[in-house]
Amino acid sequence: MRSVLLGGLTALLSLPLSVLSASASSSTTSANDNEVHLPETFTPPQVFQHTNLLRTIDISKPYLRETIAAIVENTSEESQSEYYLPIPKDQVGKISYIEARDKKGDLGEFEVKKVVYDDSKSTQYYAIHLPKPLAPSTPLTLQITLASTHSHLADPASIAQSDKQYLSFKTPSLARVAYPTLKQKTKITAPNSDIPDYTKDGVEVSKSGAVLTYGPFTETKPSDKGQLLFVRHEYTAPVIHMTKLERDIEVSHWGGNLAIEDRYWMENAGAKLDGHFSRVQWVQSQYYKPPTSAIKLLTVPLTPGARDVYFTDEIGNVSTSRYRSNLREATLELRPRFPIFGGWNYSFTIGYNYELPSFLKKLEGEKFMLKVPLFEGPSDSTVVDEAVVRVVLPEGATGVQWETTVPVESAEVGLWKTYMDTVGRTTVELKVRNVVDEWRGRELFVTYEYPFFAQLRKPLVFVAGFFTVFIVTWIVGSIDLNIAK
Amino acid sequence: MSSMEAVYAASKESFEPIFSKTLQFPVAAALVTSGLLATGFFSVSKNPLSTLASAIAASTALGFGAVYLICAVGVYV
Repeated sequence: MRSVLLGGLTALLSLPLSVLSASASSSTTSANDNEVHLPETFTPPQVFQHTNLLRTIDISKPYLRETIAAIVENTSEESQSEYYLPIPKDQVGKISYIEARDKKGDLGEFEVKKVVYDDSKSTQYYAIHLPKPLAPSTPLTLQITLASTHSHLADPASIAQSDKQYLSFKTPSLARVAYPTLKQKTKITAPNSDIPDYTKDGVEVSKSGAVLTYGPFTETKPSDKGQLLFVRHEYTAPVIHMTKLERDIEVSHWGGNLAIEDRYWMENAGAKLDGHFSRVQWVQSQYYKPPTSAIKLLTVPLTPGARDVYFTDEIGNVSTSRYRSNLREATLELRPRFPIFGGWNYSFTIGYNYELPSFLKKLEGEKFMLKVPLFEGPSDSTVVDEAVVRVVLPEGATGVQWETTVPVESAEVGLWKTYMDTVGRTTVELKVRNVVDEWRGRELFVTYEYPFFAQLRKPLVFVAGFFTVFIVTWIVGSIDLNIAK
Repeated sequence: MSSMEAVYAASKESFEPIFSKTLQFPVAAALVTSGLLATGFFSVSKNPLSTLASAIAASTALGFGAVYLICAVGVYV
């Protein structure tokens, strides 16, 4: 009888373990899909020319957003489908994204890939693939948008508590393109008309409100850099910079819950505070609500339905937050314990729960698909240097695939152990660099298989544990400990 | 529209948990109570078959009850 019971117990305990061995193994994928490898001697073939080009640089955010709108003409005798965009080597690491599209036609978005050829060259390239080859002598209205971080400098580098903040930046007067251009202009859009210094000598320039227009420049070659332009402008908002963001997205089938936690390491990258901080002066000035270079409030729009919201920092719960939600919107307002002036740091955590059915769909068989916002940070203009997004799937999920429109540096599928886990939950970890606030609302899709028996693993482990306790109790209770009969 | 986005848009069946969040605590309480009752029956039972049956019933109720209880208190496993 005892051997039967022990045999049954062993079989029951081995059930979950046999399933565990079939769970996901760790694997790594890189962002090689976003690269195209070319010979080391590569130079862009001179098959295009720009009939007209307008370069617009938006400096109203803490990063540079440059748009090149050009009429591109195929000057070769064959159809062409690859357009190359040069980027200086020292700028490549600062690029957040490069997007290209057909501005007037119906070709839509174009695929952009980084060219890997010779790392030592001072100019690197991005290849823009035209889905429909451009026929000879045919024009195309190409719009390229690129964002780059760490492009501004506080000028002056330090200011008093109530002083105005100014930023400066430098850029060549001509667009960096790999093909000759017949006519081009450069337009710089500042946040407001307070632009005390900008390049005026040796170049044709006009100022209209917050917009500076340089040019026109005619008959320029790809090797022409033009003049280096300098612009110093007022920046009334704080320069919000997240050095790191860790975002956990946790899926629970048993709980019917999607838990999200964002951990931020924030710094004010604007002009540093000159001298000491005066709380009295700060409180007095707040009565008039003047523009300030300090971070005093962050507004985080969430997906409607968010609940159990929390805001903590190193000390603990921060009570100066406000969460307002209704059926249409949910907004979390975060007020740090102190205003964050230039050069100051503040790290904090926000978290919230969603109902899982709003984000998870069941596909055929035992397959599921998750759709979540990749980033849900503050609506204020921000830059994140390094973001790590970890999607924690249920324990036993296999066959994980993911997709997003944001350029991902690396992705890794692995395991993570937490409460009530035996081998750990399947995770997908995505690393993204130079995240800009424009990516708010971009979705991440994750598909996975979650077999029925894997779903039962968690309670079965507990059942086996309790059953072991009962059987041991029974066996111990059956032992005859009497000395004499 | 990307391929996965199209699949997601085409799929009409949303995931539905066995018990919604509001039902988790009552279900957990019912299962744990049943498990404790079965444990009591296990402790007084003399017949080996009924002892084994009550042990299986108690461990099953307590196992599933523990999972729902931990979910009900906000640790979503």
